[in-house]
Amino acid sequence: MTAKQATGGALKAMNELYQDRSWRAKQLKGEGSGIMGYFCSYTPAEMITAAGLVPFRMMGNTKEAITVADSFLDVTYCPYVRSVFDMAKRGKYDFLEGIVFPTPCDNILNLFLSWQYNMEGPYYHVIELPRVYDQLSLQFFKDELGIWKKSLEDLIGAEITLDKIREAIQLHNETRALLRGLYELRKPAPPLISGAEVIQLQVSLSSLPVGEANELLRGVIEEVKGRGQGPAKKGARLFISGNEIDDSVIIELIEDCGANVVGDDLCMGSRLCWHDVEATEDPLDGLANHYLGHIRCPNTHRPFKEGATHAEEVEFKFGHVKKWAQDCNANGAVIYVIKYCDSQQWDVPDLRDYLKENGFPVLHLEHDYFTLALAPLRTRIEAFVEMVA
Amino acid sequence: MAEEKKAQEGLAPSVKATQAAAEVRSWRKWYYERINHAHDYGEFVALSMLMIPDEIFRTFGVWASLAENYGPLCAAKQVSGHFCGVAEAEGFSMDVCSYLKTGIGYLIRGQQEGGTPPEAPYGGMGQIDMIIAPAVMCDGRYKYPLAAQRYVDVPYFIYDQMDMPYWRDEKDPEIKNRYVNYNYERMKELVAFLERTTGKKFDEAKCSEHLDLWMKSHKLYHDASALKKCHPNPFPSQDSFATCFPNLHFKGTQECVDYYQGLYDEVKARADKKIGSVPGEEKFRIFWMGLPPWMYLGIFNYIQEKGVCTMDATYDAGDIPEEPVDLNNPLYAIAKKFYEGVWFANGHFRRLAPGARTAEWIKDHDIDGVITLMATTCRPGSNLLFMRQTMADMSPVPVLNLEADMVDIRAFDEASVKAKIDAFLETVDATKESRKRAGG
Repeated sequence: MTAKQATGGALKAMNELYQDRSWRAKQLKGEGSGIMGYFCSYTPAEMITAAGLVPFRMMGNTKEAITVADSFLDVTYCPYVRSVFDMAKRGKYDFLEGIVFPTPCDNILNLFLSWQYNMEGPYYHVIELPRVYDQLSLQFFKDELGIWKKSLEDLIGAEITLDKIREAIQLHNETRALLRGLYELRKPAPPLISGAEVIQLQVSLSSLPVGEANELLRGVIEEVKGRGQGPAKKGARLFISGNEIDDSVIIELIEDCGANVVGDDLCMGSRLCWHDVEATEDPLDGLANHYLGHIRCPNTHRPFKEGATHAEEVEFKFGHVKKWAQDCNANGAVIYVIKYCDSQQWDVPDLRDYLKENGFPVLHLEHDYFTLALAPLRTRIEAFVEMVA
Repeated sequence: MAEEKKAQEGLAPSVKATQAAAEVRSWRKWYYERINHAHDYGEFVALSMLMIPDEIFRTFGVWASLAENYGPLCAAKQVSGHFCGVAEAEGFSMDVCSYLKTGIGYLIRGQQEGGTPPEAPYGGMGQIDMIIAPAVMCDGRYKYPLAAQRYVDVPYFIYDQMDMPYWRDEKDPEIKNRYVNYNYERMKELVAFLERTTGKKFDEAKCSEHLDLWMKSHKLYHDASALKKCHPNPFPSQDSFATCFPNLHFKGTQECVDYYQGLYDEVKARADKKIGSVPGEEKFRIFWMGLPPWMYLGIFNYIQEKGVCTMDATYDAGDIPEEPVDLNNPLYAIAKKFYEGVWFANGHFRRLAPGARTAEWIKDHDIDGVITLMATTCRPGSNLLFMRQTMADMSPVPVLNLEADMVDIRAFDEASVKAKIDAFLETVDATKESRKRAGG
């Protein structure tokens, strides 16, 4: 990684890693490191780092049609999950030491069923994720993290000390802080970094050990600040809220249609970085509260107050989206939802109306994850951008 | 439109084999009459979901109004497509559960009409006072009630209810205690919410009575369902799918006990007298796995007319508890029995190898073929390929996957379904013959 970075700069290194995100992980594996795959923003990557392993987020390939997975997973599954499984069945994830499955949704849980039945793997672990965020579920989730810690200790044959977890938290918090700094660079008009580049960066970071990720991130921030020509200024400044976008093609499409994508509320976006893990005496408390409480995925229900009106509930639930969209001076919003994501799909009418009531024209896109046929999306995006700009 | 109407008129209602199943109509009528006039009786209605502890609800005089029942009802009355369409026009995805989308569509229409929409069967889903939803079994279960609050702005309570973690040793006492205790705490929270919302105090003794009654009806329902394995099958699918209704809405009552006593007595008598559900001898025995097409339960009669009996386990009572429930602590007993799979359908969805459980069922019931409905909008039901795979590893019987929805009439084509079943039955015939020759 470092050698590649030195030859072409951080942005170039980022792009190369984005194009082939497993190359560094495979290199590290060849050098003796263990690479641990994990699903979803709910998995505390800190624990993997503390175990001396490299966290590697599982992603599909939006450019390749499903071939093998359709024999194992119904087509009415989340296409992202099917794509990941397809890649795994074709050997693309053979370099992994194991995989961690949280249980945020039916799709990932069903995936685990098929995965553990059909794949050889030395290590699988399931982290049970409560659906409700409160004191009781926090304790439950903390206990789950303790169980996972023990499982990792059995795998690596060594103790994961609390100090190691604290160090890992510091490193991953550094990533978060750097990312928040990067997101500030999206606020000017035009933004200094494009929405597509942000996704590429997030994908790259999720493929590296945290120390290398931070180094890359610092390099990218410096280059972005210093480069002469960033994205062109466009009339539409859009905020995008949704689920799994792990390919910049969707954002590139939106930007190509005449918009700057200036902020996001995405699984591979700001959900990863908007809050730090709090430094608690027992670091598992900090991890539990962060991952169950701060990851603003619609899978987790955060009770507001009893007797609240629906309007108050919606404000509580989506107020952060409004704030982020306002902070980055967006003048329109896109709700992007991958098909078969119940958690996100049930929220669409409320989120759409809430954003509209707060002055944001909204485009709702429901998509099949793959980027093989984007023409229908383009037409709708162009019309929307024209209206907003 | 004319073609759609004609197609809808062609979906004949099912003909029941048992008196108990035929009686469900009057229970249904009574139930919906009651929940639409609950306030006249000083009672409450909670928009809710399956898997809620009815024993606790009943203690407070709260009826559960379930979209998982109203959806099928609307399908049978051929208006589910309409309500789903209304929900989709509002922005709810075509992908989400059609049971729940029917419920949302009904609520939207209710808001539009300022009261019960005229097209709503049975006078509607009740006078909703609160929303209570357990986040268990599928994502829609707590997302739909939250979305419902958009149209029925009432107090709500969403709670976690942890299912058995099949990826661990679910019988390990430490694991079991952890999950059961978690669910127990949630039961206490539910009670506290109901106290605040109804203004009544929790009557633990009364809850124990309801729990005791439910365990009685549960055992009777379980025992009646166990008779499906008899030759000939005395309890066919169109009856089985109907007779779950009292268990859904009346559990914890003496009436429910009496009903399932009647069902058991009738099914037992049929079994003893060798009264089946097909004309003449049973040619094959088909296991209908998963959800039925609620808009057309007559499909089972269609199959039975060919001398093929159908049976299912979808809404069966679930397991009997390993030991008698502790009536001295009903909330804990409820938490524990939920974990142990004492609930209809519970555990089937989250067992490690559901194929193994199904293969066992197939063997016990002498099944010749399996038909599954790949319900397009059901996420937990969207793992039928996996179930097929695991079943194929353990059972030689052929499987037919029908792609249709369980409630949305727009996603059901009668002619196509019948054609596929006809072709499948020929396969079953051929397979049975070769298994016989092979001594299997």
